[in-house]
Amino acid sequence: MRFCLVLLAILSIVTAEPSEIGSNDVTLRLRGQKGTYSTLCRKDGSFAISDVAPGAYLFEVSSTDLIYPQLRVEVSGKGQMRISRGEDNTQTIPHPLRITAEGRADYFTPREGFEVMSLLKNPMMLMMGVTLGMTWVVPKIMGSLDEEALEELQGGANRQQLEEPPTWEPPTLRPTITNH
Amino acid sequence: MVVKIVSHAYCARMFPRTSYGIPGTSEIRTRIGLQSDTTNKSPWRRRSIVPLGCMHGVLKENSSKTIQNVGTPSNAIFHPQKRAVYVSTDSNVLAALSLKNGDISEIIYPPLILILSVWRRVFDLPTGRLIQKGNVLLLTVNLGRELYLLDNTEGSVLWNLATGSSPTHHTDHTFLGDIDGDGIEDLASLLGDVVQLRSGRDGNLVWKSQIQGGEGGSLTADATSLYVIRSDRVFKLDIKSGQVVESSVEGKKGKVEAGGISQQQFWTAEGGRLYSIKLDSKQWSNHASLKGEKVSNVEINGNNVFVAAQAENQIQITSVIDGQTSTENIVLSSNVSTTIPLNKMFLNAYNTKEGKRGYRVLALFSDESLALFSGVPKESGSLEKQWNREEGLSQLNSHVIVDLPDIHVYTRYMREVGETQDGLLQGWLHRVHAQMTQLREFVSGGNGVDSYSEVRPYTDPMGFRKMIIGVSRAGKLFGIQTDSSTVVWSNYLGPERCGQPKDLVVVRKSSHFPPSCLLICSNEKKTDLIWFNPLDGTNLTVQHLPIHYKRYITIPLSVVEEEKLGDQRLISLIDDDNRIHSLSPPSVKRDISDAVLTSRRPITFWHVAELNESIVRGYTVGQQTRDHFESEEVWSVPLGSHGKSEKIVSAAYVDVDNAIASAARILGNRDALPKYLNRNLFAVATESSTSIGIYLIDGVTGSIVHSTVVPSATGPVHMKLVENWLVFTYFNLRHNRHEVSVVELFEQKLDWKEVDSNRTKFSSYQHAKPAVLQQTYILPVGISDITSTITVKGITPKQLLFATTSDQILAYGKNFLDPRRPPKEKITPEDREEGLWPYDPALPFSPRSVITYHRQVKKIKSITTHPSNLESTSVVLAVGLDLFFTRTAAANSFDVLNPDFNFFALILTTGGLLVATVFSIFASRKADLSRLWK
Repeated sequence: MRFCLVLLAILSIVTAEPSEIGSNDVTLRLRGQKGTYSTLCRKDGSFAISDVAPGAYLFEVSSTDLIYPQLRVEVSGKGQMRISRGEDNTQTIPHPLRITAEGRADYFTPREGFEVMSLLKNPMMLMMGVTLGMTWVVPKIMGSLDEEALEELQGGANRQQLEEPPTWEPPTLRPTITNH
Repeated sequence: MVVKIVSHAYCARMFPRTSYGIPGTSEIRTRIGLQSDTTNKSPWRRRSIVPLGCMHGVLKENSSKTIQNVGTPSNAIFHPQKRAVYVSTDSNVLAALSLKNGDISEIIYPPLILILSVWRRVFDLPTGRLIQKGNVLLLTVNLGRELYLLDNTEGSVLWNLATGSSPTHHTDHTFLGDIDGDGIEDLASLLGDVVQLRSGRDGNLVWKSQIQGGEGGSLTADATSLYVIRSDRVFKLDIKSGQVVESSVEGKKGKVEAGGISQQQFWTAEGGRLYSIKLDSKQWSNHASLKGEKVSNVEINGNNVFVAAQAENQIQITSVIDGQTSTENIVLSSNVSTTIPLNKMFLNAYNTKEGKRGYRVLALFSDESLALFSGVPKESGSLEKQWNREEGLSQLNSHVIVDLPDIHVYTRYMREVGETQDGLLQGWLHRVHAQMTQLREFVSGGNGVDSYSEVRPYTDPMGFRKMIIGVSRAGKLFGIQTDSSTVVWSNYLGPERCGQPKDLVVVRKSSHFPPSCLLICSNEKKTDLIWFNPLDGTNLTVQHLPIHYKRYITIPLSVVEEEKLGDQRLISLIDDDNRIHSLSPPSVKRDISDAVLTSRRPITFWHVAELNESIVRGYTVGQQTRDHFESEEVWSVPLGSHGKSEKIVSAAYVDVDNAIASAARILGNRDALPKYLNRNLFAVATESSTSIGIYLIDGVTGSIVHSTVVPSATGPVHMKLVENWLVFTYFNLRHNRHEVSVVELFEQKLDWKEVDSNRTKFSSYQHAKPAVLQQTYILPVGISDITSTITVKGITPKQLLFATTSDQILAYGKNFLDPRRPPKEKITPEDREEGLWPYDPALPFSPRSVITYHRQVKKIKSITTHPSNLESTSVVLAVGLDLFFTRTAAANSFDVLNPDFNFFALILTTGGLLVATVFSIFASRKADLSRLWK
């Protein structure tokens, strides 16, 4: 039981001309319980898959340059088709189909060039800069303070040190690892 | 019938748990793709690597290499004007090969900017007849049920259609003039007993006509009529209307093969004779008897007819020139192929500018090498060989990746072992040479190995250069060096020495001298064992065993035993009656290997999971008899439930050679989750009419550790079992999508106190069942194979490699497929600290995680990975119609500098600091001085 059925559609791409598709290797596949059907894309971007048995299929476009969406195709016993996209199969697409690429596949990351600013943005550089700045700024502030305030500041720090001796515990492994 | 048997050797209580090292990092890392300007330059061109410390350096480029194949041609057509030969092959390929060099990739010659019209189209279904007219090619696909009309310049499809014929129909096609008046030549097809005329523009039917008297015949046309020629009848059809006039003819028996028209006669070669029939007469005439079994196509060149036949070592070309029949003997001049029988040949004749007659012969040999011979035959009758393609590479039955030896180790071996041919002086000179190279390497900061790698194959400091050993279905061994992607040695074994090639095993690794490989071939009567050195194909030793081979098992060895066996692996063969034959390499006495197997008798287990069966059986080594060991069945596991029939479709094993760096996962709360590391584990996938079953079975006890059923799913199932996790892919029929599922096993409880003493060894008999976690994801593409990366120490996080049906290799970090990924709303800070991502059913398709980049690697059947010397990197080999080799770093190359490491910034910073230091010295001196003056 095989219904002669022709699925005619046009593959279109985002920016370039349709001829771009034909010169590249684009294979179209219908995959389902009843089997797998495949064809190559034509030079003008159209394609046809014939003799498809009734059933539900996943439609895939394998192209290296462009990314196409996956579609779901249902072929009824009378030879009628329902094409939909999306996980929940809600968006129905009219026939004949026109599939537009979602975008160009970019396989490469752009190379980073050298910039002085990128060097200065380095966290180590920023830390160094701040530390250097502090060594210059802090004595100035200290110098600008009057003697009384300075003494109070130093004395206060000393008192606090006497009251609270530093407590520091070395980090330990959790007992779960060591004991059990 | 046994299709495939999978078995494995186990040693219960023998496998030590690997040492506990640094746990795998759980940081989220994304792979950074390659910069495009790097690939545009010729990839794989060697560049020096700057060493920083013993194993550190700078990777300056991508190193991926493809060998493109077309397969063995079943049809070929020459097109001298386009400088191409079109071939339709048994690998479902239609390709235009350059007549000049046999290439299928476009070549641009810099001074002329000449682009050869060479290309390749790969179909899913078998390709058949090929017909050419003008600038178009007609190809029949799927046994004549589909027709494709292609442009011959770039191989793009103009139109395709279904003919509606059944596969048993005899079909033939021919081009005619322009009938329907659209300026494009039209096409006639004979499908069974129906003749159709189709428009050349779009393939629309113009007329169709029925002919009488069954099927068969050759379809041909002249300016006014279309002819169906059979040995007893000729049907003449009017080209405009399709009206049939039938007439009977005499003089020939048998079928009419394809032929051509010259001088109002139809020419065909059949049954060792060249026949012709005048289109208006009723009599076949016999022109010449052809000597030899292998007869080429009938070549028509204007008024001349040529046909070639192979007679012993030479080829006899029978030509009919202006009605005169003559013969000419030519020899295909090639140094190697003379001893290899010819399988098929395609002939083309042409006239040179000087008026001489030249020939082109496309010859396919028994070793599946394809060669073009062309030119004007010399006085001796020899034709020059233009190029050679190794099409056996498109049909590799088995392959292994072999490490190349380190040059320093190799030189030391040469000295210590005293390789026989080299004298004392030569050995010393060789050593001096090696040390000079080392010095040059040190001074130049590059890997000087390149300079003399032509002499002997050596590895590079990074261990990226490997040797690929493959055996084709025709029984030809290939040694391919990955850096140059060239076949450095090949050896056609022939049906005498090698039946059907089955398995390739590395017996002695390259760290020992000399390395050794074993090829196991078998046919109905005997099993052939071929031992050879994988580096150069020498030391070839052939043994025959009168057994019917099923599978081999490897027996794990202790250090002492390894030494006894000369650092070789102990391989045992299992025959159809489950008898075990221990193999001894040529240099080792049989007693030693038998003694090892005897000592290992009660604790060696192996099992058989036959394809299309629904039972798995486990065996142990039994009593030794005169020349073999018996095996005893220990357990059997029937698969399937509720009386449903389930058939085994796939099996996966833990690779016991892989290093495991960590025996536990460190969680976000600093707790440790111990992995269930059972190296006796294997996975079996079964398929029933509506579902897929996955079983994880312990190979020693036969207990099912875990099983799961995927309802309404179908295969093909691809599986990979690594450490404590299994990944498998299938097609979900309910939702019509490709899915991947990951199963991860953890210990229910483990006494950490005992880990370092007794529990470093695993016993299948005394181990509690593991806790199982599983998650499923949706794949963006169909899958043809999966594998996981392997690194030296196993510290680097694993990456899963998926070979897709869209001819690419897609890489996902293992953290994408982690069954501990929590639901989005339940994610805790601890999970985040552990590096877990919230669960998302759809795996994203990111072009930057495609490791084949913009290239297609056609029809990948399997991917294999192998460690390099760098912990971060593993090498990947994909085998299918094409061969593809690359390397991948799952967590970026952390042990080498980035390819775009900013040396300028480094120098600038260092220089700046130096200047600042000098300046501050002066400044402080000045300040000191001024303070003293105060």
